[in-house]
Amino acid sequence: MSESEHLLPAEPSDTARSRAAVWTLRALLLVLFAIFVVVEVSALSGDLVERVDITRAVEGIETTALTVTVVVSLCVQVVIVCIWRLLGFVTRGEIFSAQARIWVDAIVVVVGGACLFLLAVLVLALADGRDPVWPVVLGLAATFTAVCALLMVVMRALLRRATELRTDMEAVV
Amino acid sequence: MAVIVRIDVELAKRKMSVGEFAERVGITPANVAVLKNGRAKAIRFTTLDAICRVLECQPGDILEWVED
Repeated sequence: MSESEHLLPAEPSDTARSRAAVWTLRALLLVLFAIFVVVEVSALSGDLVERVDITRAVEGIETTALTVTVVVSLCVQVVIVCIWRLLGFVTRGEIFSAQARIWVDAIVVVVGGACLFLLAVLVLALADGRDPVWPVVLGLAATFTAVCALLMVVMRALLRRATELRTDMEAVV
Repeated sequence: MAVIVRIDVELAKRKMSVGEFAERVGITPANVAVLKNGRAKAIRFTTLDAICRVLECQPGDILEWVED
């Protein structure tokens, strides 16, 4: 009787399904990362301004919009790296460890930071009051990141509990 | 830990090695050591069942409670 058989024995299809999910996720993360690299490059090189029709936007919004785009892209990429590392832990069966929790903490911090950043820009945009649409976009983005951050906080608590339970079970002969 | 697991006597009676005992019960030799020196915090009934089956004894023969 191996240790893993005592813990809820996984059906063969469960393991196969989660392994398939992990590899699909990794592929999609790579694609997403590449997309955001393209976004960042075009934003910084001035390409994005030409591609996206900002003729209706008020002067000055451009710089802010580009800054927000680059910062959000960077945050997304950092989160992608963190998720990638966590998937590594999962495939090695080391997800219930303190090291894994560090990467979860990193995701919470980055997403939370992005949310605060967006709220700050939102406040500035509302104070500015020139463009009516831009604050709405920022508000939506801020809400979305807030939801993601809080979801990760809940996930972190679950992971912590699962790690505790796993540690307890390992002490059982 | 107030519950002591006395398997040495039973192993000696049957002239069984720790390694053979561990294999037949289905636990690691490390876990046998954990049982013997009182570091085990919990034991599964399935493990206890296997131990009693292998040693042909009763739980009371190997488990003893002493006042801390």
